[in-house]
Amino acid sequence: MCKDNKLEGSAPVSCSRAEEAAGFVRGELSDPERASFEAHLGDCGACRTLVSDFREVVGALGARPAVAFDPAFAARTLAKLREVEAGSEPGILLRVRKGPWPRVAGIAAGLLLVAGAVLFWRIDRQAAVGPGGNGTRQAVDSALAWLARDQLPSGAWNSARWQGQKEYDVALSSMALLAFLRHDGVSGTGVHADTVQRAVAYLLAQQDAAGAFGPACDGRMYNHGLATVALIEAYRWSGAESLRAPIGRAIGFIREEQLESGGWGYAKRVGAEANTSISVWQLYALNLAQESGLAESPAVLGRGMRWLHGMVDGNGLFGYERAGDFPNGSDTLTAMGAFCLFGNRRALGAEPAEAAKIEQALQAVASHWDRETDFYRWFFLSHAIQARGTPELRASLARIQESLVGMRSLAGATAGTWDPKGAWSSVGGRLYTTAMATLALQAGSRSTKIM
Amino acid sequence: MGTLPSPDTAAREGPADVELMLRVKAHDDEQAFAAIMDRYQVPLVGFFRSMGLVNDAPDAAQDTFLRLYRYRRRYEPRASLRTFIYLLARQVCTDASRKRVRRDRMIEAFRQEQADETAQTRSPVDDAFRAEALLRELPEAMRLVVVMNIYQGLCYEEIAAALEIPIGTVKSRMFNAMARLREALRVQRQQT
Repeated sequence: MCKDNKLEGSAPVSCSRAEEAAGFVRGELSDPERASFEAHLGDCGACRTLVSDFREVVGALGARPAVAFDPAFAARTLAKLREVEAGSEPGILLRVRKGPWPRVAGIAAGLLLVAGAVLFWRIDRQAAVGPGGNGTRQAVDSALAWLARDQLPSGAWNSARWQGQKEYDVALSSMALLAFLRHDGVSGTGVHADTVQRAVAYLLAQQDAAGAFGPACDGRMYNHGLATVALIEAYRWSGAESLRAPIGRAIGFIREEQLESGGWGYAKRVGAEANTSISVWQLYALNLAQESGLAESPAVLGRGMRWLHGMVDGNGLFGYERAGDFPNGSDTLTAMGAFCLFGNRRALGAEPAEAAKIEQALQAVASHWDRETDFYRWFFLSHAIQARGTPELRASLARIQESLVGMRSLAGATAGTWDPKGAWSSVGGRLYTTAMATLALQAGSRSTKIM
Repeated sequence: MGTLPSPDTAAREGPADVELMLRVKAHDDEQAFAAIMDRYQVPLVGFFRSMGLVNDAPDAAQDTFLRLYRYRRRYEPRASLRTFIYLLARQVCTDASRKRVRRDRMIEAFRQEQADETAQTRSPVDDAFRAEALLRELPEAMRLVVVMNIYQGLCYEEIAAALEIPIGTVKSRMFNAMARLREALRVQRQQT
């Protein structure tokens, strides 16, 4: 028997199966349900009326005017999308400093610190959590999450958005990529695999016919060195053979750019001076490519390492263009050089007597590490300490990392990043400080050996 | 469970939705994203018009695609892309709710003028006005179900996923909506 079915805002319908009428009209009943309801319709006038009325309703609604296809819609939306993704904010762009990267030792040292330390030399990483413990790991996670959100669809990072200089997009994007590669590292199954793939695709697209990365600006060798290192590390991460050829061309460009002295400078020209900062990036890439079985450059590498040894003075300090040359102090350069020599597992590393002096100099840098705000130095120092690995130095590393975690911005859209402060922050902006700090925190984070 | 032919899935060519969306998800593939937009542009604009956004329907459709791109990493191939798109479209509808209320008032005034001028004739445009007048009888929750089912061709299961409600709720909302529309249609016919 049929029972009343009370409707919202309407008269009751005298059948408990009335609700099926809508599904029946709309073809939403299963085959058995439909057969059962059809049989019911033979006995229930109320439901027959409902079905008839509902069909009329559908017919009345069916008169919606057609919508014309707009052939420009997709292009217009993609343009809007790029605008949103780029996040171009006039207020920020106006604050961007123009001009070439200053030709000073500190900058070079900072850059060297960053990428060179990451991959080139042996880094004994401890158990799953680094010296800074869970706080360190969480800081790295949140920084990477911010970097991942900030990545453009092209795979690049927009330096200008965060007060960096656009001509260093390649170098800064490479720094960010290195931070992800260090995080996901050996397994290659990390949560940021997609970010890594896009960043690699972006870098590959920046390579010119000569094998060089980035625009032909003063800082090209920074862009090139960092991008080459990042791609080699990506090769180690992924095993993708498609990277072998572009890396080979990039190494070829480094060989071509080596100066008579054995080092590398801003541009290969008559009378050009090599400097420690730019040279370390190139040595880093050459060594990493060799260790990874990608490209052997024993003669070029040998000359370069000998040049670097020539930068060390009697106190174990590294100079900029020659031993004893400290235009911006010796701390960053020493951390960088120490990283380079201690990390080298081959015969081109430091001899025992020289190593003892360099270690002493490094210990001194670590003892007053926060005298100045310099993320380059901190990154390089962290990895040089890790490479040398004495208990005293490791204790310093734990203190540095703990302090870095405490320096993070904690509020707003930039929470988890490091505010652009100190040396070279006006060149690299927030991308630089955040990538550098993240890489510094990753020193000692795992038991994996980089080289 | 039977399903009706879907107006926005008919006559598709090229890669499947899932394949296109995975390309967008993994590689930010703009070509794939443009193909998705070409595929869903007309149904979405129609959807927003039916939901009362009228002149702002193309903007609402664009907003939906921008959200789709923003949330591309959350897309899982086990879910229908169409359902995912309508879930986002529903969110756009909700966000536009206040604007829609103001706009509906303006449209209502405009319609009244139109009705006065053309009461003696009947055309497809009149039918469309009548259909829209019918839909305006429904609260948004019911209207969403009706529009998604009748105009957009989503089955109950897809509607439940897009609106994030149980399928039983979809059934009861649909039934109640149809009953209300039946009464509204009766009144409309008495008036004409």
